[in-house]
Formats: sequence, C-alpha cells, structure tokens
Amino acid sequence: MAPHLAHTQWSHRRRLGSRRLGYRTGAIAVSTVLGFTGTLVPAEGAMAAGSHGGVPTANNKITGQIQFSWWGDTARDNITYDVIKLFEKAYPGVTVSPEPTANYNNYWQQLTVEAAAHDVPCVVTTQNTYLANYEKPTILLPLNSLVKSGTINTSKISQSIITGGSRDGTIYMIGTGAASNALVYNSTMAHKYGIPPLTNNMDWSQFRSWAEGAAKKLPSGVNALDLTTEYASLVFLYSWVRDNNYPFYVKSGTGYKLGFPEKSLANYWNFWQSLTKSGATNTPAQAAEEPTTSGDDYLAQGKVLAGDDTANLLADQTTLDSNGLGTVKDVLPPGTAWAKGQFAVSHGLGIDVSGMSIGADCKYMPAAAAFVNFWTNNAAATKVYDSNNGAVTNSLDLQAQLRSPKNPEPIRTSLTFFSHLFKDKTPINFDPSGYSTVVTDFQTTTQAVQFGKANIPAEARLFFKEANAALSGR
Amino acid sequence: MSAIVMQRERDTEHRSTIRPSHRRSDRRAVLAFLAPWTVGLILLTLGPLAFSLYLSFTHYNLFSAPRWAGLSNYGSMFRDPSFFASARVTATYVGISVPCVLGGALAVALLLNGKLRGLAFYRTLFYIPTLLGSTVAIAFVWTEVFSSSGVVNRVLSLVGITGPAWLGDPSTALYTLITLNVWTFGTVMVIFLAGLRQIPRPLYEAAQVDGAGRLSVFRNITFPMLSPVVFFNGILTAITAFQSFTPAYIISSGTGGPVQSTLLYSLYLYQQGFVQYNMGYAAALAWFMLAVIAGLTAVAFATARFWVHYGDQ
Repeated sequence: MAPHLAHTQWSHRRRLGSRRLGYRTGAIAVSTVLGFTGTLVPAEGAMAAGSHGGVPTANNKITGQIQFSWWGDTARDNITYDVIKLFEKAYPGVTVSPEPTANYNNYWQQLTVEAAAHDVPCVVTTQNTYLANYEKPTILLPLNSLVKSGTINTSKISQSIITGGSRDGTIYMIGTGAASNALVYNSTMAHKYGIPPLTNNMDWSQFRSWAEGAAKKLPSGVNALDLTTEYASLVFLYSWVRDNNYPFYVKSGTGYKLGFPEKSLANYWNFWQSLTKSGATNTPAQAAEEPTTSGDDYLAQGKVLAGDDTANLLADQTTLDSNGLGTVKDVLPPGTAWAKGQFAVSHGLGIDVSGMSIGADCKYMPAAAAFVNFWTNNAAATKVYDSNNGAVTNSLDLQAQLRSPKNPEPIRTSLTFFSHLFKDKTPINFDPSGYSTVVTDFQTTTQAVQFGKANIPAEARLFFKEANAALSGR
Repeated sequence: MSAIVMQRERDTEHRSTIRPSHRRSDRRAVLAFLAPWTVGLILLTLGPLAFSLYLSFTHYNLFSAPRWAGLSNYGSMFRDPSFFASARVTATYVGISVPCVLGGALAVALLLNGKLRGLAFYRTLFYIPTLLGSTVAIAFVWTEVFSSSGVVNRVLSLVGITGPAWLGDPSTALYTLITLNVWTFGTVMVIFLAGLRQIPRPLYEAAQVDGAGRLSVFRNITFPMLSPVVFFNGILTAITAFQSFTPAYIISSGTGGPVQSTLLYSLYLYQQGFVQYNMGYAAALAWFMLAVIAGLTAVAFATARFWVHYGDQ
C-alpha cells in the first residue's frame, strides 16, 4: 500500500454519521491504543517542559479580531475557552471570537458553506480526513512562509505530522493532536463470564472464534459484537483490505478510486453475515436504532461486549462506571499486524491528525498565525488543553504530559505509543476528496446487506460504482 | 348625469390641477415605501431562486466555481437508484399521511363542532401536537417512544405482544414517521372547524325536516359546503408533506436509514447538497420537486370543478 494513502479509521468511524461519531475526538484519542503499547520501550529522554516555543516578542503590536472554530462537546468547549483567555492575555491587542459546533458532521457542513461563501473563520480546526476538500489557497492560507519564518514554530512537531497537513508541499494544516483506531471491549464483563481478553495481532479467524466463543458465554440480551460499529463502519474494512494486501485507494487520473477488488468487500460482508447468523452480533434492527448520544451506546449500556467505538470511549466508560458495568480496554483491530520491536505503524492501523488552519480571507493573518503558534507551542496552553483532541504533537508538551502525575498510567502508556509514532515519522496523509460519499454509500449498502435486502455481489458493485464516481474528482 | 360620473369628472379635474412636481414626489414616496420589500424580494427570493435554477445546470461542489453541465443533472436523476428510492419513500409518505391527516382532522373537527362541554380545552389539546410535532425535541422523543424498549413496546408487552424495532426495521420505520406526521393535524383541524362553523344552519334544519340521516347530511350538505376548505387543506398538507425533512433527519440521524426506508426526498436533496457536496445535482432535485408539486397542484385545480363547490356556483 502506498504510504501516502495510509488512512485513518478513527476518523472514518467518526465520519459515519452523527450516529455516534460526531463530536468527541477528545481526550479519548489518547486512550485509543491502550492495552497494546505495553511492550514499547520507555519514552524518549525527559526534556524540559517549561515555557518554550516561538511566541512573538512584540505581542502588543499584533492586533485584530479573529474567529476560531472547532467541534467538540462541552468539556472541550470549556478548556478551549481557557486557552483563548490565556492567548488574549498574552496578546492584549487580539480578540478571539469562539465558534464552537457540537456535532462533528455539522461542523464540516458548516465549514463547507463558509468555504463556498469565502467566509472561513481566521483559525479553523481541521483534520486530515477532510482536508482534501479545503486544500485550496482560495480557502485555506498556505502556511509554508509562516513556518519557514518561524512565525509558526513547528520545530517540536514531527515532520510526518506536518507532511500529513500538506499537499504537494503546501502546508495547509499544523497538526496538533493525533489519534488512532482500536477494538474496544468491556474487560470486566469478559472476565465475569470467563471470556478470554482480546489481544493484539489477532487475525480475522481468531477474532471470529473469540466472538463466537464469547456469544456462548454471555447472558441473554448481551451480544458479543455490535453490528453498528464494526460492520457498518469503514474502520474494520480498512483493516480487512490491508490485511488482504490491497491499498484502500489508488490514484486514478486526476482523482482516486478504490484500490481493492469488489470480491474483497463481498468477502468482508459475508464474514459479518456469518457472524450474525452464528449469534455473535446483535440484530441489524437493534444496530439501526442504537442511541446516538455519547455514552448511551450499547457498549456503554452493557448490551454488547465489544465495539470499535473508541471515539466515545471516555463517555462510554463514564456511563459504565455510573452503572457499575465494568471497564473498557482497547486493542488493535483484527487483521492489524503490529511490527514488534518497531514503532512504525504496520498495515491496518491508521493515524488521524487534527490540527489548525488559517482561513484564506482572514483580515488579521498575523493574529491568526500568533494564535496557531500559541496553541502549538505555549506550554501553559497545552497544559490546559491536555491531549483533548488526540495526543499532543509537540514533543516537549507530550513529554510533559507523559511525566504528569495527573495522567493515569493507561493514558501515559497511550501517549508513549504516540511519542514513538511521532519519532518514527509515521506517515499521515489526506483522504481523497469524495470521502464523505464513500462513507455514506458504504453505510447504505452495508445496511442493505445486513437486512438481506440486497444481493452481496450486486451491492458491492453498486458501492464501487458510486464510490469511484465520487472519488474520481470529476 | 349620475352622481358617480360627476364625481369622476371632479376627480379628473382635481388630478389635472395637481402640479407635476407633486406627482413626481408622490411617485418617489411610493417607490421608497416599496423599496425594502422589492429589494428583499429580489435579493432573498428571486435572486436565490434564479441562482438555484442556474446551479441545477452545473456541476458545483461548493469548493470550485460551478461548471456548466447542461441537462446532465436532470438526466442523472433517472440513473440514480437513490433518487428512485427517495421518490418511492416520499410518494408513500405523502400518499398515506395526507389522507390520514385530512380524514383525522375532519373527524375530530366534526366531533368538536358539536355542543361539547370544555370545547376550548379539547381544541387546545388537539392543537398542541401541531405546535410540538415538527420540532427536533419531539423527533427525539419519538425515537425513544418507538425504540425496541420504548413506551409503545412496553405497553404492547402488557398484552403479550412483542413489538418490533419500529424505527430500526426498514419495514416499519417509515410508518412511524407517517404516524408522527398524522399526529400533528391540529392546524388542519382548526381550519376545518372554522369551515364547519360557516355552513348555514338552515341547511341542516331543512335536512332535519326532510328526515335526512347523519351520513346523508354529511354527504349532501357538510362535505359539499366544506369542499373548498378540504381542497385548500389538501393542497397545503400535500405540499408540506412533500417537503418534510426534520423528523426523518432526526430519527435516522440524517442517513435516511435503515436501508433508505426513511429517505424522504428533501433529506436526499440535503444529503446531496451538504454531505456529498453535489450542489448542482441537489438544485436539480429541488427544481424537479417543484415541478412535481406544481404539476400535482395543477391537476388538483383542474379536477376541483368536479367536486369543489363554491357558494357562488
């Protein structure tokens, strides 16, 4: 698989509708790899975590009113307001107008309309999955000159993160937080019913055995797997495709197309159909009406043993805690090989990066650049924001968080994982334009298969036809 | 010479005595008063309408300038399985919910038209769902009420019935939406009630004298006299149903699922425009819907003379 096509299942799952995805990349991100980082070597040497970075000295000369937009829940809103206050204190001539959007999908829809109207906020939160749509100098400001001049200091950020926010050498996004996907399960429930814990490096057949074995031990009303999250999301399809040694996308003319054969998708659907038939999953109808609110899904309610819902991990855990229903852990998705002893991501695991961009029509570019630089480099700001939207990409701040006693061991383990990813310059890249259509079409066709309303090869053909048309860029 | 003619002559004489500068001044005043409305009409209604029509002949993804595409968006519709799915869902939705809304509203209006104690209370009671029905909050409540473990299934379980996953099952999800729509018949009912009050009492008294039964009275007096109101309500209810969006959006989380069973046309239009960024295609879908609604309305008007009875006819 071409490295530049590495994908980010984390965000794909989130994109799968406001069903569950929406708005919580949050602190959860850092815990997405809990459980499979235990063998990693200790973090790189301790570094100073005090004040650092390139906050301009002549702060008072920078003035203006900038808008800053982001997605997220109330908790994220609150810490973002705190960072804004810190910035306004450091830059008394600048006022920041906050523009939060709770729902992840709505955020992109709103940004799209703003882009069409040439009214993109001065500073926008972006993500590699959607960046392809906005990577135009008329929409987002190319940041190369600001980075080169040190106005935005990226010296503590991995080059792979910067490359992930670039297209053809033009930097459109400064990555501030990285996240990954995982398979989440209720370890307490597994233990209670004598089900072996999930492990890393499972292949699909081991995964099937585990799920079918678990289904036999679970009480009535509790299913081993949740169809909504595993089956109808692209998360596991990515792992499946990569496990079959295919790239998910390949270049085609001026755009892209799906890089794997229809047969591969048909086999994937058949695999899940057989799991459903064996009783290892809930029913399609149950999956279709799964609550969409954070912390209300079946994993949180204790109605399923496992899901891939890492985006809602913390919210799920909160609900589980309040009902005494156990503790969730996460491992690598099935079919995802982990190169032992190396920290480069092997096939099957995607890294997703959220970051900051500057609107092309921003009237107060110096203020916007100062804000991005402040957010990226100011230790106090990072301390407040923590790794709320993915593991912080600034290596000094990451090390500081690794040492912080306020972070529990699982979080520190997860952060260690990312510190190695950053160090190894693991490639992080764009999803092609047309990605949102791929997600929608996949969900629609998968549901048709789930409910037995479609012939699998025909539905795979339909998905390929529609997805490829959207990806072609025509 | 009649008084009217004399008055006209006096007016003409008066107008001729008004100085041209006054006339110009009056004209300016008229234009000034009309200007805000005219500007609003052009900028907020006609302008977007014309632009939308233009977009329907282009490929426009919101990120790049529109590219002229001729009639290709309109042609694409007829090769798009989701278009047909949404048209089918919408036809079912309109075809079932409009008669149910009209029938239900008329039945309740007939009941409330009698001499009933606490009439105002009942009128309010039946109208409340209309105030709430199309809101996001009620759509959320509806989702809970009709979930597998919701109120409806709990009630059914009391009598030994295991209810389905109303919203999770493609065969029942749309009917749940239809029920939500029918539940909000309050406005239609109030209009029917007003219409019923306008029917002259002597007609009923004469029928009573002639010994006409209730059904006969309804068929020969109430319905014919109420037919203009039925016609009006029918047109408006149908147009509203064609444009229904919010409940389907909330209940299906914007997907139109399960398996496109709640993919109402306007939801599909929204998906094309704002999720898949095919704004040109979405505009074509919108104009196609407008054409269909206009066509059906024209048919309704053409057939109205056979069953709608106005007082002066």
